[in-house]
Amino acid sequence: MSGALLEVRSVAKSFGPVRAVADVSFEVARGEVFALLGGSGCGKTTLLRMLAGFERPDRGQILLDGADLADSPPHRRPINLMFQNHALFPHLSVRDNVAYGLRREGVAGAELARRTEEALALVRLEGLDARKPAQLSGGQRQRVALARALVKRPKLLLLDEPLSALDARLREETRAELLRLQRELGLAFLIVTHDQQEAMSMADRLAVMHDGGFMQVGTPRDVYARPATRHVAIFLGNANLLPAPADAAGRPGWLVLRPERIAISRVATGAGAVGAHIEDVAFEGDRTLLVARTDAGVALRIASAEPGWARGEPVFLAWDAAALHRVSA
Amino acid sequence: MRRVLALPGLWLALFLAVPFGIVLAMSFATADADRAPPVAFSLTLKNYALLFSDPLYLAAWIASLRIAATSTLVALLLGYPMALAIARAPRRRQPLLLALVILPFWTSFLIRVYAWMGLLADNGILNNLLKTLGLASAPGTILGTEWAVHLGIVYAYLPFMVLPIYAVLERQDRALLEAAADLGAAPWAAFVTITLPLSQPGIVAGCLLVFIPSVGEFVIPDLLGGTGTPMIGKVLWDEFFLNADWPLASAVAVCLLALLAVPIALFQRHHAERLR
Repeated sequence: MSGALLEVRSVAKSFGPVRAVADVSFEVARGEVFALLGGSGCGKTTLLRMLAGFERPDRGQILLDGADLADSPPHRRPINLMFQNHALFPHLSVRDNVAYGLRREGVAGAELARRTEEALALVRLEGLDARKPAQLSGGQRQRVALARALVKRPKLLLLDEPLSALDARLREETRAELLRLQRELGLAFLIVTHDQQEAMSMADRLAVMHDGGFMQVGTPRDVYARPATRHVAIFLGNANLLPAPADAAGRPGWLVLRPERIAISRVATGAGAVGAHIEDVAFEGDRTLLVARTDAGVALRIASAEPGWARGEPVFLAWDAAALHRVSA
Repeated sequence: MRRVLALPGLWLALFLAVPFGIVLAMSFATADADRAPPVAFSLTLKNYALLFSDPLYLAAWIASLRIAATSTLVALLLGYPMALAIARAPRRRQPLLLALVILPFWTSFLIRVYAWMGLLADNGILNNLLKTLGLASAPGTILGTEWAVHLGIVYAYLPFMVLPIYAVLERQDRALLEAAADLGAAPWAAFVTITLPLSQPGIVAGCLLVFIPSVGEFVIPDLLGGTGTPMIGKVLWDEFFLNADWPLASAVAVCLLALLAVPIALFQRHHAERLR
């Protein structure tokens, strides 16, 4: 048996003429947080639904701990899913929502009460157990959904856009909470999201999906620093794309330059500095996003830690050669 | 604006409260065949006294409630799967299936009940079919029995069961069933623990919509039923048209209304509790 917890081998799925997932293979290790990142219609949701058992792959295999899941319906898979809109049962109390999965396994009596209590304590929902989902805040509902998915101690937890329904402050809190539980319980997470920050900040590794396939798989820092294609560069964070001279084989290319790698100053500092003037300023608190047009007419996005820039101001831009990353597609 | 809001109140007063007031007043009056209408106004309780002392009326009440209850149950057992099947059908096919449920309403209610007479008669289509298929040797009697009354009521009121249940099921979030499956519920368990309890308002509404008119049903027991125990709607009709005893008929009507107010009130309270 290999070390991987989840193995996806050449999985493909079409809906009529629409190819949703095309020949995708990857592995998730025990205790790993893996993120599938992509825009709407990229196939990430179909892939998630195949893992949960709601859709059958046309081709390929899904193995969990070496066992093929092809013939297991969703209710027999040791995988649980935290739904995007939580899908809490509106007619059941918080306690009954959390106990639902255990009851289906035939757990009853003191054992049921103990394990339900444990799961509620895990997400700090003690005291709210008699409420109905409609009486909870968004963050509390999120925690019920998490407790309900964790109570059966799945080997793998699937999370569908786990932070997207939450406001900014709650997102940070919830992210820390999710990762704390993931470490404490030694679980593997598979996160599906369209939000690059969500993916980069949570995942050990991520896969960027486009048109049903994987464009690149790697650690967030690696994929950010060395995107495989223009699409990945743009999708994962901000990027300036500069046309590059053709390579030895004659293929055209682009140079990826991240906005925070451009140094901006009011005086020319070195020989390589480029003259420009500021066209747009967006103050974001911890940083300021600028658009500057060089004297050669190229518009560049720049992230600066300094807030004091004004529109129309003449500036000088400089960057290291090491900050440029070449892509050919 | 105020006047517009007052309009429904006026409507209710004119077409509900006033007629009911007349019926209520008449139920305390005495029958007088020499007058037109045949009523002499008085303030007597003898109409009600008769209703509660004559075993014929009591038997009619019990028969009506029993037939209405069993018909409602049968309509529920038939209607729920129909509603579920329509709600789970592909969305573009649902309007057609719903139209099929409502289609019988395009024909007069009376004509449809007459049609059942032709189907169920001793020498009718059903008996001939059974004979041709060799499933029955002698024609069985269906028409004129309580079986025929049940059949007629279930047939006539089934759409009133299907539609409210469909309306509730159609709104149900499919993700809830996926969540149930994800948590280990086999399809049957998911139905019992999620779909069924969440469709309860539709079940209650459907049962009331079938039960309430069934209790007072007159046409179906009159045309399909036999000479045995009459249903209360038939009693009311007979008192009014055959015996020309308008006060007694009014008393029957008042009691019927009082009886049916109980389940309606229970439903309202249940509904209010759910909203809380």
